[in-house]
Amino acid sequence: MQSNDDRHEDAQLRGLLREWQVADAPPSLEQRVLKSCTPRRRAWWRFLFTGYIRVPVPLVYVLAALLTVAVWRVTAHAPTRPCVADAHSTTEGRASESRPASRCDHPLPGVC
Amino acid sequence: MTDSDFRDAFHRHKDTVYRFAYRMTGSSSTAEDVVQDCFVMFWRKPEAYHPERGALRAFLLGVARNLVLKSWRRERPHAMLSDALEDQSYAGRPFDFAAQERAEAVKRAVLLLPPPQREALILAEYEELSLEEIAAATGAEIAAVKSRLHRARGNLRKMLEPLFAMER
Repeated sequence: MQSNDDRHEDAQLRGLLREWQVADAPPSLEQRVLKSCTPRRRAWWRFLFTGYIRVPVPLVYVLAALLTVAVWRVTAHAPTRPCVADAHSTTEGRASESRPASRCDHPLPGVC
Repeated sequence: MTDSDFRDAFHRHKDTVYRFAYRMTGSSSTAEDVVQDCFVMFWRKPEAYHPERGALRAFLLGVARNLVLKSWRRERPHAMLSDALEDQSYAGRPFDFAAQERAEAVKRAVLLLPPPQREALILAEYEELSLEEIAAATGAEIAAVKSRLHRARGNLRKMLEPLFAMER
């Protein structure tokens, strides 16, 4: 339990401590803090050049598989060019009526 | 936390955090840095504050207190901020107040207190936090806070003895 003297000294000390007053935060601090905490606004189109997105790894697997299948299909089932000579033989009639082409206009040698 | 929540918290508590940091360090530029770092941390990690554990003011003062200790460690890497070094401080030696103003004398006396006593005294006397809030902000037991406050007041009484004598 505190004696009267102690209480008096505490009150005195408290009064003395109150004599050290500190000013409030300077106004410039507000700009400084809010500037560093508020996200800067950027033009939306800048995202097209500088932005990035996070993609889940399973989605990357799926996209890679789809790309592989697409490439395989394109290369395996690419239509071959019909031979000019074959085209001649089919359009000119039956085999019995066929005769060697007298003139060949194909630019590649050996085709006719 | 929305932008307006943050602004509201900043406007309500910036002066408290600033005054605490200033009284702990005696430097306005360090106090400004502490306020900035404190609120930037709060903006980035609002989930670090748990309302059920206490008021936002006490939480922010706890963050500011850690930032002050961090700045001390940066400036004086070998200084330990424990009670073990209390006896090596200048606390308890009387001042010569001949050319000193009273407020300046109080400031110097408070700044000469060992950090654990200083933070407890500032939070109790100037920011009027309860013992529980001081314990939460400083990460100390309530008994330790009481003891630090008691020793801080005793040291201040000794240091400010000439001022008390003038008042009598």
